[in-house]
Amino acid sequence: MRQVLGLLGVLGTLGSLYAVLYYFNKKTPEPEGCEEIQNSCSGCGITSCGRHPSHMSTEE
Amino acid sequence: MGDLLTLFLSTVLIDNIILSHFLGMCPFMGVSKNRSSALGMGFAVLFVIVGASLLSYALYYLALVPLGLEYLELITFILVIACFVQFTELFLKKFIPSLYKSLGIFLPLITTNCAVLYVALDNITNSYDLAHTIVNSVGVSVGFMLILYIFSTIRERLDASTPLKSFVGNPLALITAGLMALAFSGLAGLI
Repeated sequence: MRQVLGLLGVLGTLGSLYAVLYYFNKKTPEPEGCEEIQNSCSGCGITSCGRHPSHMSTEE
Repeated sequence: MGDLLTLFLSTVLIDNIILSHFLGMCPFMGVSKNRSSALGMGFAVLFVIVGASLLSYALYYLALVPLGLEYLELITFILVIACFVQFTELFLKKFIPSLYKSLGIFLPLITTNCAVLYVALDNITNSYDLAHTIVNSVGVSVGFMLILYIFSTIRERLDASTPLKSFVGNPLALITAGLMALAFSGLAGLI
């Protein structure tokens, strides 16, 4: 029982923490002069990256 | 002390994460086209590897071991790395915009860098204490940055050359990486 509660506690805490950080990260505006960082990425070999242009068309 | 120095030199030069373990190959090939990108990625990886390793180390010994949940190390470390990258991006965006400007574009790439996970797991597998964990994490990151930077300087020169058509781009880069791995394997007798 203790292990199950521990498992749920650890994974739940980390999962929730990630969700909260992701939300606040997306909500935080880009600092002045950095607005074009996202658009300046022309894409490299790492296609799994969230900034890769191939993901932009599907998100919009 | 000598033990820590040996570990550091070993992780930087001999057991290099890219050339010996073939981990972190995505940024190695993808972000090595110019020196400034390579250095930016190198510093971002250094920061995330050291931070995520320390957090994973603390979580393992303070939460997973007392609860008997050691088998959860893989999934928890992945979550720790993802959280740390999000937090780093948020913190830089909010408080250090100048650093965000230079590193910001590389931060999302690090979540998918298997080298970060390897270091966190390696520290636990080898039962390193805190000092060895820090030295191992810094050594692997410095080794990663060193190879990425050297490779980017070579690629800049390769871009200015005119190789055979079939060698242009990744084939020539992979041959170069292989030659670098051979060269670094010559340092195996150093320690």
